[in-house]
Amino acid sequence: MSGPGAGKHGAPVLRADRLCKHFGGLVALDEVTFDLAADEILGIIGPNGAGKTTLINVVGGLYLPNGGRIVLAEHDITTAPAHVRCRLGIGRTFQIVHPLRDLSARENIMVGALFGQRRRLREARQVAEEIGALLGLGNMHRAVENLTVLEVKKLEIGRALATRPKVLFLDEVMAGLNSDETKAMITAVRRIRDQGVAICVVEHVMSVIRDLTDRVIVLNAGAIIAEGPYAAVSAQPRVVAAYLGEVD
Amino acid sequence: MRWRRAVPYAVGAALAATFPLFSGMYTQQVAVTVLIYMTLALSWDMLLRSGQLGFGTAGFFGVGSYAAVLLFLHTGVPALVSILFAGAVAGVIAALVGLAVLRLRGMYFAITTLALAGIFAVVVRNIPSLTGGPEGMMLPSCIFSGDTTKVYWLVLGMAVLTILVSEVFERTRLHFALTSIRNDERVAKSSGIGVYGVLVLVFAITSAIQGVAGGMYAHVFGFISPEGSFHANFLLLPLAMALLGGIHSTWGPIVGALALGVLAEYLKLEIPYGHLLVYGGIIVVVTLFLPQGVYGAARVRLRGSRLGGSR
Repeated sequence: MSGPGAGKHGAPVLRADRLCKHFGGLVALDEVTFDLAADEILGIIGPNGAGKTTLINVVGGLYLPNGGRIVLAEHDITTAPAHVRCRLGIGRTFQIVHPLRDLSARENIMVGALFGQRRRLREARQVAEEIGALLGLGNMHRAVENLTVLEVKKLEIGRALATRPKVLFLDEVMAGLNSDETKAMITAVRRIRDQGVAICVVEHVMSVIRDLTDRVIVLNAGAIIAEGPYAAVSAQPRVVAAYLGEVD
Repeated sequence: MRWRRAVPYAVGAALAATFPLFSGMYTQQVAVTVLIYMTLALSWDMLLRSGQLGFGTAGFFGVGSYAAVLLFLHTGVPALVSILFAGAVAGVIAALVGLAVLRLRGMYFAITTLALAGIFAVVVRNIPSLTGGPEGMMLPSCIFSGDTTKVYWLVLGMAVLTILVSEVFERTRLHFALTSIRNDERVAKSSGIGVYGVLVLVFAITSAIQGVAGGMYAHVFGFISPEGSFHANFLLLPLAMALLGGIHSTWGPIVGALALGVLAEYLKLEIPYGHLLVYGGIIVVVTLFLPQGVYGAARVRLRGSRLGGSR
């Protein structure tokens, strides 16, 4: 079986097969299946509570799935702990930014290189400087509390990037940014993709999804209700219905 | 420039090493007590750097006291060997206990580790054939036959080694692991840090240090007992010292131990037992008005940043 995106891009680097996640009686993920190619940007959209962040947490290893399989570049990581998944190549940011407040900007990024890539301190400093330059972070010795919202979001991406991920999950990194900042962020994300990193973005800003993604999947109540290029998907009646509510 | 920064350290080390040459027996005795508490304060802080509030300090201190004395009395190995053995026993017990209790966080972890001292005390009280039961045991003679100068140098050695371990914690990748875990555990996991393994390792290392301190204390003062060896003071005083000096650093607990240790000695003479009230007062005042401690506040003043050092 090959997903719709597999033809255009290369072999999938990540495959999620019929993932299920329940919280008590609530079905947060209901047989979610998708794959992701190495140079692809996939969008995940859906109304609030659709299961987007849960999906990232299940793939990232913070939650274990109740069913299904996750395969990352030939490794079955379904039951692997989060730090092992990170070392194997899953990077992620958090919807609510979580900078490490007692570390400087550079040290925040170093953490990813030190533990995700098992680099030495000196190498990790080098990696952090390079990533800081790539993302345009400016003075890297600043304390986190002295960074702007945009810079904190870039810092999150930088830390994830420093683990040298094969797949990078970005959970609403554009939220709260003005239009100039959003443009800067889109440029940064494209630059990361161009380095061969598969990217999965969860986003509510539809113009970002339209401009950035090669393909989207639409989640509603934990299940995929549509999949394909944004233009095609956004026109489907049931996608519109999921966002705006049913109109009989 | 580098050598200039080393000057204060060199002066401090020289003062500490030559201290017995210009001080009397009483002062040296006070210094020995202060250095043992300093070791405990540092080890408590080293675990706190991971965000885990450990209350097992008195427990592992007592385990070390008993391990050292029992090995010494039953096998006749040299006192120093029995002190190292005390550290190994405390470290191994902490690793095993840690595998279970380090699934817990926050207050649950704190309360569980607090119970350890009580559990250990009950155990030793109830095997009198091995441990002397409720009365405890006396050593036939103290280490170095009570020669305070030699005892001072030995205890100083332990404190200096602990300071070095603390600096290893501060200057290596372990610093990044501990700070990440303290700031946000989910981020730490998602950045490749094996949180559970790091915590078990650090819990074992800091408990081993507390065990060595306990073994040292028992050999210096020559006795062990369930009430004395597991006394809450071996938790509360180091905690107060680290809080007063400033947490999450090597210098904080050192400064706090010196200040509070010397103050305690003075207060004991002026208002016997009243010094405990003063400790309580200090914990309250520091927590309310100086949460970063004396050294922490000074560091902010001097460098204008919460981020010390030139890392």
